[in-house]
Amino acid sequence: MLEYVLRRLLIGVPLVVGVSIVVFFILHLLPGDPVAAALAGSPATPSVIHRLEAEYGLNRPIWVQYWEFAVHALHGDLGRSYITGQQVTSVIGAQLGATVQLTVAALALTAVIGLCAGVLAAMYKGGPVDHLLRLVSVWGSAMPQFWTGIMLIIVFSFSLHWFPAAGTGGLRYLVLPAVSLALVSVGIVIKIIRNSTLETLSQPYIIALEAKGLSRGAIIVRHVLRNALIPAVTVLGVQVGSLLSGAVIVETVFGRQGIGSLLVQSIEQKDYPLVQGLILFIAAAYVIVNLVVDISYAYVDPRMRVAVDTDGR
Amino acid sequence: MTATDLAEQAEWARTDEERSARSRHSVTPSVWASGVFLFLVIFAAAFPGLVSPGDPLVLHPTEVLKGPAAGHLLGTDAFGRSVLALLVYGARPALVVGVLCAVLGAVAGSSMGITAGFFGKIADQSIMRFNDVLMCFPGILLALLVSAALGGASLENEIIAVAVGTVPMYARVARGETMKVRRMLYVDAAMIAGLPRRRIIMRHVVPNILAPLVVIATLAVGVSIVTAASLSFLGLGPVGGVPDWGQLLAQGETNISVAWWISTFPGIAITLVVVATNLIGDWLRDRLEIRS
Repeated sequence: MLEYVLRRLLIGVPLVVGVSIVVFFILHLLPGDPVAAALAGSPATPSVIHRLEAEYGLNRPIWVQYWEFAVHALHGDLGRSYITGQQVTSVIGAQLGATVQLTVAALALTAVIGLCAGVLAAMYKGGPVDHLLRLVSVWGSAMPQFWTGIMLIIVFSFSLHWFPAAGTGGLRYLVLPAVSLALVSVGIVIKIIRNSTLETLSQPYIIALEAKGLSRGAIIVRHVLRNALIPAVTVLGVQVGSLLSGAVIVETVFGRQGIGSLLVQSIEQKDYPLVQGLILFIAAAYVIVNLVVDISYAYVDPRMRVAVDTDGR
Repeated sequence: MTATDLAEQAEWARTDEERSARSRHSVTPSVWASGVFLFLVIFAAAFPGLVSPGDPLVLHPTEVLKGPAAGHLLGTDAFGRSVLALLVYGARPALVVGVLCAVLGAVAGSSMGITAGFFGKIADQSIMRFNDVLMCFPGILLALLVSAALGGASLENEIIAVAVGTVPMYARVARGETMKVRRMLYVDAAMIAGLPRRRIIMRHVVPNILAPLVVIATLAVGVSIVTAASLSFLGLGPVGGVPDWGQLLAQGETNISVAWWISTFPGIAITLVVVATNLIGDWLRDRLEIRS
């Protein structure tokens, strides 16, 4: 078991390094002049340009620049914003809370609704519930997220006045964005859980339990759920990534604070250190979440536990 | 949200009746509807003048922000332009971007996968590790990164950014299929006969792995359209000229309290196109008997 965990960790580290390389090189090799952005219109004599280039280390070979970046990053220094001069890490830290709030809320919604609906859809397969959920699933994920957000605002904010249209704050400000964010993920979770439940229900041991006389309720609770929900952990883990990337859109639409709207803002302002730090952060977070999911999967699925312990493959 | 996810979603949407019809490769009503709808959209994209009630750039300053009515079926925007006309003229950029990105991504991603699968060993390891890294960027993050690096604000940049985001979808599948074909006897025969490897790849590998890649590409059209619309919505798309659907939606958002129609209809249009391409892609997969 420990060997498995360590091996997964070992795979994770090069991935994060790889991500940092990709982010750094894409931003630095593609056209787009950071010095011009930093100057932002103020007069640029050659000496000023040279000084800025030296300050940002842009006059050294790209590999050296990357190395400096990586070393600093490991010490928690992701550079300074071109616009405000603040440390990137503190800017991210300040905005992170709102996004975590949103993502957790959306994940909770996805988990609760997705899991219940998936199991129900499988249990009453072919029934109206099943059909309704499949419609939600297919159409929900085809609708662009920024559009569902706007539609929700139109209906629930301007027409019904149930929820505020924009802003960050307490629970009221969280509902619409969380729903909008969760819509796509719910569809996927429903589908996967439904399939998993159907598969579990078709297992011979279920028939054996029924023949044994166990009540339907007990079968569901004690046997079906436990097995059908095994993929839940993996699916939800993958959805975290989807939710994080969706937060970029949703936070913009709802005018919420958070690293998503921060990312959009920093791209518009061509604040490259901040863009770099944010994308690196989000991707790294995704890798870590997947890592945790993989490791916990070994605990959740007893078959994995046995396989892992017996030969560690 | 990958293309394969979307494919499986559409798969589930089949009723049992449709499933048995599908097993006989017949075309279900929803696939027919999708085909007809897409044909109409393509027609509107090719000949917007014939479909649209007017020139989208014509301003009607006296009718700014009016709702759907007899004169303007889908209302007007903040500049007095007819939303319906804007929608029709927006079909071309949407489809062009979708198809172009799907094709570009397919070429790039498949090349990666084919190289990895055919040459194996170091090429395989390095390319697939790279692909793994690309897959660490969830959702539109990769497209955002490329867009930011390129400086946004143009159609070419948007297309490149979206295409890069779709590359991982193809690489893995292309690699798997290539490895299957590589083992075939005729490939060995060709190599023994002295055929240059590039010729072998083009002549033998590519035609045989084309089918699943075409399916992915079809689904990627939908994904690309949404991603491109998202980028446009965030202001990272083309500037000036006729607004595309994403920009229309952005404008609608600023006017959200007074003009719900500006955002609603482009969103419906995007959703319908995506659903239609998904259904067609799903049908194609059944038709070509692909097990992914």
